[in-house]
Amino acid sequence: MPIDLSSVNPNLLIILPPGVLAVFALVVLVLDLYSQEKRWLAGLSLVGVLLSLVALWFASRPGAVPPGDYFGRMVTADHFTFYMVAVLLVAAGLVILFSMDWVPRRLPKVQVEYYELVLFATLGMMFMAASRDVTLIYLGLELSSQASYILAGLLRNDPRSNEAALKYFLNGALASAVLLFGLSILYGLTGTTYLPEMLVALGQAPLPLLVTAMVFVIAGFGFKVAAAPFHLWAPDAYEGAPTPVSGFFSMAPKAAAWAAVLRVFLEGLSIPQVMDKWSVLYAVLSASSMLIGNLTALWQTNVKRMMAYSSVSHAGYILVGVAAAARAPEVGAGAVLFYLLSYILTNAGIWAALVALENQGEGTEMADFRGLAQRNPALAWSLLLLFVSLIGIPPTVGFFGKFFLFRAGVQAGYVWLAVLMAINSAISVGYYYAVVRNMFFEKTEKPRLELGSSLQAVVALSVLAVLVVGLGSSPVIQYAEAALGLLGR
Amino acid sequence: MVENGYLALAAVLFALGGVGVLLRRSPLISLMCVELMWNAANLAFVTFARMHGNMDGQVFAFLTITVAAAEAAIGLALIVLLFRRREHVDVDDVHSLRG
Repeated sequence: MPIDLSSVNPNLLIILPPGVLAVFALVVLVLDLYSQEKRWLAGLSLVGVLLSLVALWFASRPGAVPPGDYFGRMVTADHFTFYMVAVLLVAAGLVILFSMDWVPRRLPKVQVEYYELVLFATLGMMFMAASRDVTLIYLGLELSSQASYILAGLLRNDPRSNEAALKYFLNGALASAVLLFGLSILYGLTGTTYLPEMLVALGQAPLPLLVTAMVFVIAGFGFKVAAAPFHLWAPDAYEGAPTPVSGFFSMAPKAAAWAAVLRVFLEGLSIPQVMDKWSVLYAVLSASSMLIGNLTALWQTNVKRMMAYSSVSHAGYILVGVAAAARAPEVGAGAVLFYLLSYILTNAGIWAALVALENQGEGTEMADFRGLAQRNPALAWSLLLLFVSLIGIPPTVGFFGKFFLFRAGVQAGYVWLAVLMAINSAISVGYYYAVVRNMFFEKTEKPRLELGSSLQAVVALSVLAVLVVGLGSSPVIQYAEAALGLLGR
Repeated sequence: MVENGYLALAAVLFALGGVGVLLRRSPLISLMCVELMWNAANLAFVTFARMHGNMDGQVFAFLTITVAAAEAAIGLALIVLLFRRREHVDVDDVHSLRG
């Protein structure tokens, strides 16, 4: 019998996915007090994420929640929300899955705290993506950032972890102060924190102040997504933080920050006078992120650090779509949304491999990848495929992501930026190849690298998704572009 | 208008905080400067709320105060962790990660 949801209050349905996650987070927190064996609590956290996805599926079915704002205009029901929340939950699920073997080894005393913080950070991100009110976007951002600061410093006796946490914290706090000041000016100009009303009221606002506020907001978000020149914290935070946490940083918080960027700029700051200005600013940030990220990554000897610079360059690629969204909203933002999904799916497998190395007591230097093809051929070939996807070679999902961004850039008249993106993809072959060369053409005496079932699952899912989502990308990109149809117009 | 004075004060506080973060090397002082910037934003929110005659800005300021308290707790905890390891804390000494 199909379940009739029409009688359920849509307010409850739209809040159900984050609600389920919050309940599970609290239950896990309490059970931690009474349980000696911690491993099943990791499983319980994963169940929470999966149930939250199920709840999201219910809420997103046509007719279950009419599009609009709920909870005093704080939470929005539209395709954009559903898509982003699903992406964030997938990222959180993958992170929990690839941490399961690592956490008992490296964080034996704070196992459950680890999952707790991942769940709460995800909760904050879900609200960032689901709101059209800057109050809740900011609160979500803070919830996820503060959980992330602690996650970065969880290895209490490792000075590198302390340092990563401190640098991440100081930069993040500065960024959020700058963002907050920008938001306060926007509120002062319009008298509202609700983005659609802000858009209407912005017409009368004096342009110089508006541009000032816009620059503050761009700088604040620029820190969060690690776009150059606001990226300086990222390599240190990635290198020093616990490895699965760095993987988490490269996947979920950035995706949520991109969602907030699209919301704020397309729904709030989309009057023609400022649209051109932020579009050009984002184009400049995009060019600098791609160039700085890729050129610096070439010199790295630590793979975690290399992945940090790689993520800076990928922020640059995504910014092509953001800049294009000012002139072609559906195509630009649709490409960004698709790229977020493709980046998360690809990255999960690579970070799982790094975690696997640490599980066997090895490091994450380039040299630790030597002879990986001997030690575990399946993993080495999987990694090769994932790097191919990050470079953007067909038929992987990375190629389609880059293709949609390229198309958006060209349609919006940013041909130079699109060409720069193609050139940078070619540069990025250099550093990914360094890892591949170490894996396939170096000899090693080390024993076979065992992955364990949860890591195997993540790598397999990642490889499968890279192939399947890539070849079947048309429904996904259509959904992503349709997400913008409901966004603010 | 008296509101303009408050807005000017907010701008000055924000600038002072920003300069402080960039120039001072102690993480503790940096944290205090960031707090100053936050409170500048809060002051702006409350002033704007009065000018517009609605409560949105005041609500935002209240929430931000809570956020800032949580953030300070985390920041101080991280600084204490570093302090246990060394005799004094200076961001220039925190450089085992580089590239």
